[in-house]
Amino acid sequence: MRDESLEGLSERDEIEALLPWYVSGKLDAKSRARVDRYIEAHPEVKAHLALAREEADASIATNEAIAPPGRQALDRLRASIAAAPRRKVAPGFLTQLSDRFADWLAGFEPRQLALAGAVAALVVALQAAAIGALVMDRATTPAYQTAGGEETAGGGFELLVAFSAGATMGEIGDLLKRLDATVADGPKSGLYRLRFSDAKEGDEDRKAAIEALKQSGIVTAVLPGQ
Amino acid sequence: MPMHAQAEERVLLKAIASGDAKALERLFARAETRVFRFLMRVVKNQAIAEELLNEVFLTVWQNAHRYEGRSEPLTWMLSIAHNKAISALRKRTEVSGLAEDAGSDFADEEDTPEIAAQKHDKSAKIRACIAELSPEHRTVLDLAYYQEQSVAEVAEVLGIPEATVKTRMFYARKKLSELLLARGIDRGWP
Repeated sequence: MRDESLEGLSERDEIEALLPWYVSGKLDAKSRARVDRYIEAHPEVKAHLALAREEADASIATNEAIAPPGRQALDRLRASIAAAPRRKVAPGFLTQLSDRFADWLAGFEPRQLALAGAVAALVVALQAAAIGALVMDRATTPAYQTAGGEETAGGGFELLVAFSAGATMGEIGDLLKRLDATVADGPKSGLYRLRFSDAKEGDEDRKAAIEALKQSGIVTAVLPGQ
Repeated sequence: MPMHAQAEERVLLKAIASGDAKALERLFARAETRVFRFLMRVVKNQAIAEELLNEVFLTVWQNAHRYEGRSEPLTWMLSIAHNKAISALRKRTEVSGLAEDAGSDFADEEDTPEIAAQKHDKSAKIRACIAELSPEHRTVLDLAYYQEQSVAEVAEVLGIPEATVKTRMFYARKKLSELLLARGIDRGWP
């Protein structure tokens, strides 16, 4: 039976369109039977299966020539999930996050933990986890970040901030509370996007916030957020 | 992909939905290469592909509870990857230009004498011609051949009807034949 939705294509064209899935074994039974019937009636098309196999070989070879992402991809993901909010958060999430993070730490071999680089990464990840927890504690619906990073809140302003490695969760939490700010996103390249409340909009407020961040002792960089 | 592997990935997604970070790491280990290569083929930029790979699995982490099992886990992840890659290309027009210009990066590695000789081979010419296809045509070929996605799965990844997938595949293969003919290879079709 013809696929009537394929406007402009002849029956022969439709069969040619199906051959890639025929050779990959991913064609459904009905379509496979249709191709079989067509090839039986038109034996010359059988030779075209070889063309599809050549295409498959070329596509696979080209893809396999792309080197896989390195080990750092997993480290990056670990840091991201430690900092990222979950969409569904049960009461006591902070405790669950701590437990999960403890499990994650337990997954490291002692030798890995002995490496200075790993320790440094853990410090960053711990901080990311702490800040991620702050996001969960402070985030309300208007300031919630979707998975793709789209913002849902309006007004206020944003700044990109890097915290010092030694900053504790308590210090960061106090600073954000004092400045009426929330962590909207991050870390990306070590920077967190801080959102300041709708009540703060003018240059004076922005300058005051930047100055307060600089004077806090736990911030190493402040950049424009937009 | 074997059925048992798909079943294992479904189990991992269920664990991820309940907050199991180690399950996410296991799924990442299994799928990162396929997803990364898909992203690389679309955006043609290693740094951007790595960034998007991270975003894809962060989305998996945050949205695993929304996975309803109607499609295979790889199809679901490739769908997320496709949306993010297209969004990234739209946001950064300079990347789009790079994608077109860098089409032959992977087909043309360093020109050692052996590789130079291989360039005259039919298979090398097919790879080169695939690289010259439009991103839409190249993607449908990759999804069918390398990613082993069915018609329905390609439709889901790209967010288009199955009929469009088939039509796109026909014109991709037709264009490929034309490009090969221009390089002296007559495939006898169309």
